Amino acid sequence: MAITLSMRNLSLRKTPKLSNEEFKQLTSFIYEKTGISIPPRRKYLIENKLGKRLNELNIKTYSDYIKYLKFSPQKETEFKKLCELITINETCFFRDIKQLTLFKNIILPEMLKKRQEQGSKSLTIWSAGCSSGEEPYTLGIILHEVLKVSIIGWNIKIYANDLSPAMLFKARKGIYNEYSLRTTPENIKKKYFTVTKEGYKIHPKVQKLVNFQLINLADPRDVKKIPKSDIIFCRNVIIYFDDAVKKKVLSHFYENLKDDGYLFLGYSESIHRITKLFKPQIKPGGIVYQKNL
Amino acid sequence: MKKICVEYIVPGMILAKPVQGLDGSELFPEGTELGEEEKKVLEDAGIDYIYVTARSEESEQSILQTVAQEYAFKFFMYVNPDNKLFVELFNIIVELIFDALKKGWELPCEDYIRAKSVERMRDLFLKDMGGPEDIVKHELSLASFPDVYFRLKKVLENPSSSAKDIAEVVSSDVALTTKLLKLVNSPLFGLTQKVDSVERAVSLVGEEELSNLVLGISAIRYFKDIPPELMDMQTFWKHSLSCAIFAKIIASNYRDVNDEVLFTAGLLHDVGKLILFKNMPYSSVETLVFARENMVPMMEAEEYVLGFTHTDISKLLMNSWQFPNTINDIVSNHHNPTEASFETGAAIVQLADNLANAVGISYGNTFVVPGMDEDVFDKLNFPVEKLKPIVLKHNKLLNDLLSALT
Repeated sequence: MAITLSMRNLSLRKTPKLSNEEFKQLTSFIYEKTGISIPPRRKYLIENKLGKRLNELNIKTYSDYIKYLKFSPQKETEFKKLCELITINETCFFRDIKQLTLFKNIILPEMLKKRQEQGSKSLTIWSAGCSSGEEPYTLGIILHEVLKVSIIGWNIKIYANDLSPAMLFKARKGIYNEYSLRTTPENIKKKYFTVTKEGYKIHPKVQKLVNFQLINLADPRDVKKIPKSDIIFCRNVIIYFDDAVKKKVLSHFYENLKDDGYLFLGYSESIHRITKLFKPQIKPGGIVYQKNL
Repeated sequence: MKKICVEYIVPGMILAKPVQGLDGSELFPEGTELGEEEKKVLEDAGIDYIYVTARSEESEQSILQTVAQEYAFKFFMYVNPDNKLFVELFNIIVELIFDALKKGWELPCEDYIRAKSVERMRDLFLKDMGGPEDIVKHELSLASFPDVYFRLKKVLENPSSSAKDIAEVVSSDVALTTKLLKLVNSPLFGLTQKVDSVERAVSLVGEEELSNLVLGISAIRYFKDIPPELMDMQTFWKHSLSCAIFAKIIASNYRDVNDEVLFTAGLLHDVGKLILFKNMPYSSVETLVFARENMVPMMEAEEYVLGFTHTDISKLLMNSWQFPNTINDIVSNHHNPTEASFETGAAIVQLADNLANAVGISYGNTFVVPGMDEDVFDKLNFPVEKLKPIVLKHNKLLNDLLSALT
């Protein structure tokens, strides 16, 4: 592996310098508006991620960018752009199959049976932090798989929200690439997706179950827009909040969830240090949470 | 003509083959010059690979340089871009990638890197229901560490034992002896004469040093016998050995540091990860994905996903195996050398780990570069100009040693 060509002195710096003071201003602004907490060790990452945006806007310093975020006529739009840059949208259909199997085989049938006995035949699921829609659509597919034609007799609503308008746009469009479907079984792919020029399009019968909204989980007024849920999915979202905001978001879930409802968190998320509002229940395939009443 | 992932398109590339959409319709004809707009269309259409060429030889060189830089840069998103260590590492890596690309290396796609399907894998412990202690306890119940190491240890502890006694213990294990002799005869050790017996090796390398090497080789064998399903052992030991070579070479610049200890510590620095992969396969891959997508060091990802780290595991494991304290201390703290009793040693392995990961980028072995505390590097006071010669020396040694030891 001989090094043949010399290209010395490449620089790693592609952005203006973000001072500690600017970093503090920026992160407290983000925290106030979104609840997302960015620790100091992320300084260079933020510098890199936002640096590109500064270039696009032809803004020379982060101080000027902060002013732009706070005071410019475009501040609303820019705030949404900022959200897109700092949130992570990695997801796919049928992510964490063991947990979804638990949902499909145990939790969902139990809940459907209960509601039917209560004579309501209605079910509300909230996919909190849905990114580009893979999770709520996965849940929709599972509902179709479990209920089959009898789904017609049910009033099913899946509410899905995210902080990023770009993600919601993609979610509403419902078109995905191969990578998003990497953990989706072949038969499901055939049944619920059609191949189009742009990619795999989700079936309209799944799409119509899902209602997408732009919502900030840390904002109590926003959260009130979601009707009381039977089941809440919030996977790999609360990690971006600090403990105070986590606590707040979990209390929103507590208020929203019906007394016999279930909360699903990400595979590696635990909340027992944060709040006693929920009690974990160990089931085959993972942990689900129920309200501590 | 080169096959590349859509994400690595840089302006100026020319399509060498037409591209079809998922439904079979033609998106772009052959000969299309690609720019940001075309890249976006291809990405949205979910195209993985395309075949590209360039207008001229010159243009191809400059395109490959850009690709190499952009590919390498992703590994450096979270480090201080003004720090001389990272700038130097970046420069070295770009050269290595550029060189590999010219030789026809296909850059692995981001999707491919992440798309390890682990959905069927089951972790032995659920989060918060099994910590490092449980994992190590489970591990120890499965197999015991090769006996020859403990017998050797006993001999060393006896003040009246001689080189011959040591040689006797080691020579009883033929496979071990072969590997040991290959190792000490490698140019890495720079011995002027050929060593053809263990006894001779003891007298040239030293008793303590030799036992450390035996420890390292035994460890490779222990783990080879029980490979985790998910981890490609060759890849794992390539990285470990790479780190060991770097650690030994760097250590030779410090008077109060024992090269062989550093070699073994480098070789063993990630054994905690092996144990994790065996017991927590699902979480282990979640950790990799988390680190990659959030662009954070592995340690942070492990803290988050698992609630503990691979060094918590190796610390307990090495304790129960009664490994030498120095090696345990270095390995346990190679991500936070300031907490080590032997800070220089831990810092050397940290630097070596960064170099090994950096070099690994140029053959697709690296997921994230671990990063290094800038103060720790400053304290080590290692001249950055020496890094590139070290990398060249390392590259010459790696493959021979790898086939000798694994």
